[in-house]
Amino acid sequence: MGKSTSREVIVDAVEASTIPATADGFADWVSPHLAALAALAERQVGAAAGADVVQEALLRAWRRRETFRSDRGTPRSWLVAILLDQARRHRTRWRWTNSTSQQPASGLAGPSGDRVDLERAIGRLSRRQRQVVTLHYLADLAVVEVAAVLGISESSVKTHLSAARAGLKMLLEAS
Amino acid sequence: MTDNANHADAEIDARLSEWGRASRAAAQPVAVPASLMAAAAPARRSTVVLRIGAGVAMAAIVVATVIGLPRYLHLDRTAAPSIGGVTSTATARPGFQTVTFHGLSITVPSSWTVPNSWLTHGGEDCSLSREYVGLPGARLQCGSTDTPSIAFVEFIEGDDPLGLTGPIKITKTRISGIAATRTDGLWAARAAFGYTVPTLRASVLIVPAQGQTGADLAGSLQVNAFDSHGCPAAVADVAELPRNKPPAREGAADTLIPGRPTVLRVCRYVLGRIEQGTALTGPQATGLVTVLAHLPPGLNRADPDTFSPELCHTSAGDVNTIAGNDVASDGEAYRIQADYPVGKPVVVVVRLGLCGDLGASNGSRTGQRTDALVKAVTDLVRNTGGISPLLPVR
Repeated sequence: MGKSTSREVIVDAVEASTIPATADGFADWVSPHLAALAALAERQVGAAAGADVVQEALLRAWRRRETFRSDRGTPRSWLVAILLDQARRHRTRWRWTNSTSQQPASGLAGPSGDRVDLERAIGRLSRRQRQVVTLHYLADLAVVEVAAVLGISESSVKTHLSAARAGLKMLLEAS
Repeated sequence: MTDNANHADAEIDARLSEWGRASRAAAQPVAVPASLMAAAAPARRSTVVLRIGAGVAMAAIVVATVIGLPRYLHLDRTAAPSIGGVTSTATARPGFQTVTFHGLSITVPSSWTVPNSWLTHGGEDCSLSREYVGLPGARLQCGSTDTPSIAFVEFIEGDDPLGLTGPIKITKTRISGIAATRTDGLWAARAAFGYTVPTLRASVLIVPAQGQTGADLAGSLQVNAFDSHGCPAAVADVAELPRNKPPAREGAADTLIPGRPTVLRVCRYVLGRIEQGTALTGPQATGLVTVLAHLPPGLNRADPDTFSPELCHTSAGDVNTIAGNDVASDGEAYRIQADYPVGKPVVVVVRLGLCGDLGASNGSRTGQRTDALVKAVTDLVRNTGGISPLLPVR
């Protein structure tokens, strides 16, 4: 399916088992993941706040870099987990300070055509299916990484992905 | 799966992959924060650092913390609320103070001062250097951590490493009767040692100055069951609030804090460990009792549309997610103990968000999370984990 295998991920993890101690090195270390983090953040909190959330997540990652453990996940899955937590904090604070039921802008700015249909269909999946689809395809995490971020088994991720694809097929055909 | 099914699956997979690629390409470019780039300091590992200028009996206690925590105005050391699990209190022995981190305390000369502000990300090392610049004989550069004439003590969170190298010797020991381990090794070529107390999920690293042993510091270590406000150092971390239990004292089934307590001990915990506490009497106590009395019975849950409950901790030792260490605030809870002149105290557990039951309970009477409750509690002992929108009352 064109995604990394578990073995490739493990090799990557070993190679990146230590986070550089300098800020320059850290910047290089996170560089390959920035586009995925930005896309995920925009989907979580909206385009306007996405960049801020990514930067906040990167600062937290930098401060907590010694807690990164390559035996528990890859750099990207570690960064994604931090980003998701940061996005959640952003959403809850946003909701609290605005005292409104209106959600912050979510999703990608201005999708069109096929992406609109796909976005709508993804929005109708179950929560877990949306999570695995977003993490696997948008954040570009391998199955093993999605499993690590969500704290579920790889087989469970595969099951949810398969069900999501089947559901999307039906939804897209019906639309 | 049939061939047709495989084909359909592959087609959707291809569309999703393209969707992901297009989304990543369309996302606004993000740069690494400039403040991070300015902080080209060696890695630090703890959230709480105590540094002591040894020999000249001068030091600074540097409290570095997680992003977003409030500034702490250190006006009265003996009465100050604890912050980030840290309290500094005067001791009965003149000229000394005891600094406590999650129940693990060490006694140092009172001339070793506690900085009066939180240090924020990116600036902690520079702020640290300012603390040292004024000290005779100490010239610690921004970002530098090794000055042999400076001893320091560093509290360390959870199972983070002590950072010792060289020949490592680990011995079992006890502090105040509580099981602990002592680790001896080298810190920047200096002999150093640390103690880890697993039940507190806390460690302390002691790096003596050149020519000193640090035995006096080590000998002062204690494990304290309560902080200076009477808050237990550790409590059970539970996501579900107690209910349907017999009332702790008369009237507790009808109102969260019955009668007229003499003191309220308001304590904030993260994953069962004390983070911040205060003690209330008089009008302050009456005000909080009134807020609690007006809570509608029942409890709440956070609206799952606003965050990912799957990422909530299930226990303090949860390591199922690699973000486990980073969502500690999900386990944030408050404990309000009402003491009376006579009879048993009443304990109200409050949870404000994000995970588990939200609201208040004394075991026999519950109260929904209201804005007034959030304000009353967080004004006293803050909140670091966020406040979630609520689902309809169950």
